[in-house]
Amino acid sequence: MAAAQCASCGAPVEIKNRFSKVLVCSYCGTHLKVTGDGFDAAGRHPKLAEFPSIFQVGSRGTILGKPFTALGRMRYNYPGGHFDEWFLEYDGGTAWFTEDEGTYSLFTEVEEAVEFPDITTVRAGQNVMVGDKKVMVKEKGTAEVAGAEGELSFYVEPGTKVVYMDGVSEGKKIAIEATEDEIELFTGRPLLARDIIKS
Amino acid sequence: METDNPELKALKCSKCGGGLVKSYRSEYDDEEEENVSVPIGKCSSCGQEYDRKTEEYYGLFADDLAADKDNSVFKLGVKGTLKGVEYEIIGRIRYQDEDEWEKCTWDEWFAVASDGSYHYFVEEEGEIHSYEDYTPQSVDLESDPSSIEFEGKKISKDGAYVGRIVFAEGELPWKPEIGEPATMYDFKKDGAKFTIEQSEGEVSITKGEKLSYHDVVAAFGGEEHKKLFNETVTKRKNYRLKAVLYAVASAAVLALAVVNCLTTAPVAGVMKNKYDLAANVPVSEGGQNMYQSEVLYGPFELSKGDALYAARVFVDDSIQKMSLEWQSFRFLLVPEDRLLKAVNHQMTPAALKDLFDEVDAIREPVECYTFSGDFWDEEGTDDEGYWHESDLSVEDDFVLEKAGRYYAYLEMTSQKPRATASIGLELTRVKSYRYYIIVMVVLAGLSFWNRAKARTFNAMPFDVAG
Repeated sequence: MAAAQCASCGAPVEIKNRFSKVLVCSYCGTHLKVTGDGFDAAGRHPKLAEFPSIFQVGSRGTILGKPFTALGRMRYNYPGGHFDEWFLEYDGGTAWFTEDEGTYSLFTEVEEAVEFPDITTVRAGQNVMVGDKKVMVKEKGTAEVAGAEGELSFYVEPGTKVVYMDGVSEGKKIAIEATEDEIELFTGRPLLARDIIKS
Repeated sequence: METDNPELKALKCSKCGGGLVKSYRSEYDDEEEENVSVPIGKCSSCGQEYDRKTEEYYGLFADDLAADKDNSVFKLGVKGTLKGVEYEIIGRIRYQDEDEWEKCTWDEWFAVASDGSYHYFVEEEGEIHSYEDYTPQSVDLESDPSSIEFEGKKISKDGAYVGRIVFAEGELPWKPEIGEPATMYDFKKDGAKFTIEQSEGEVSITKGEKLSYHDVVAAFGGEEHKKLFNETVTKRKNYRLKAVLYAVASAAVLALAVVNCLTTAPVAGVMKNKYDLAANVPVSEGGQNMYQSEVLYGPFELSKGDALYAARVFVDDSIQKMSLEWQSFRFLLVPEDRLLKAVNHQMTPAALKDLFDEVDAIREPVECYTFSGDFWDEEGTDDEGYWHESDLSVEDDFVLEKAGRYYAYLEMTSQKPRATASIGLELTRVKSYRYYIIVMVVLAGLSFWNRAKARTFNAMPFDVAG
């Protein structure tokens, strides 16, 4: 997508991935929703605090031998700390990369979990059926969107509460995120540090 | 984050808000099989008791259970390289086994690798395992109440144990609470060790491998640790070597004893010369008619003095069978010189008979060794029906003081007339296997002691598994 200007501060901004729905202005922190005509300012939020992370916006390299570019990230705060979800351009498509408590995961499949049991009753250790997948819930908690940077494939207002669940199913890592509006299921795999090579 | 942080302690009675104090109560201990005094928390106001299943208990006893927390090669902030990866120790949680009222703790050390990933080192009773998160092909904790399904393998829930947090420090992935429980399942699959840890809000699955203490000390220990560890390893190796040597020596001595036993041979010529002094002479004792015979064998050579011999007197069935009767005997071993002196060198049957008829009355005994016995053959019926039993051999040991020529005198009393030749006599030099056995036991004891020392010797200030 062509370069444009931030609707709030006029700084030059550029969307690099056609699937991106949000761009966070790196100058003023304004969340810019991508529309057919350009950008709409969705709100101005403080920049993310600089915690050490494996990536920064624009990082390139390979994951499991396939090329990636880090386009943007969402940060979530929860009672035990925070975790980052990186939106990647990955092997010709997109993927999400999570970095939580020093563990890395790559999620290449994202789908809306329409058939999901009552999320309020789910607890760690329980088996739940999500569509035709039997998922063992490893952890459930509530997080709050702390902020974002770069380009993202969806937009969630900072401060939004998200119920998250981590689980395993058929040897794959499952992450489920539920907001008031939707429940999304991410399917992926854990990564070792050596699987990630930055260029 | 230390245990003296008031946030981590719950030292008030949940019933009345009163202060808790350490106390004891009597409980039956399955292992000890008796009542033992176990520690509990007790409200000083209302008397409410808090045992090992309560968080209050751990709030009260946490400091005791963490008293030896510095006895580890790991320390916060220490860095080390294992298998090419550099780790920095950033936190630790200590757990106490909820089932144990005595100290039974293990530490989970949290490390961050140079690439930013988390790693766990679990240290328990001198063993260290390295753990990483694991994503199984399938896992089901709940469908079966008695077992966990893990990648097709059933893991019994009977092996579960509950760990309670008693100490925490450094940077941790979550905020621990003293007394917080986690249920653990340890199991092996395909040679690898797995742990499923289930707490109220999280299930973690980790795969581990045992680390050699050598590698851990080399990576994380200081110079003093390395020196003491080398000393420990060297001493243990020496003890192991000694244990093997003593075990080999013990086995060799045992083999010698066996060889000695198997190569024992009877003294030759004992029954070669025989004097029948009396044969089936009717006698009456206590109103019972019996028959008495006397035989003298010898002389024969007993070539080894101060040595153990075995004497065996037996019924020779090939001469005359024993049938529903009994026979008693008395055996005397007589040195030739004493016998000759006693009969004034007159070795006539009459002189010998006179001597042995009065042998018990002689002031200076002619015999140097004597023993008695019975042979019998019986039958009858009882609840199980007909039975027939017999005892046709008697054996005894003696130590011969002096080598030399000897005679053997046998006095036999029987219910029925019996051929004097039907009683056999055998003398055997028993090689001193008993001394071998004593030496073998001593050597085996030394081997066990050295083996125990090889496992337990430790110059380090903390446990190191053998």
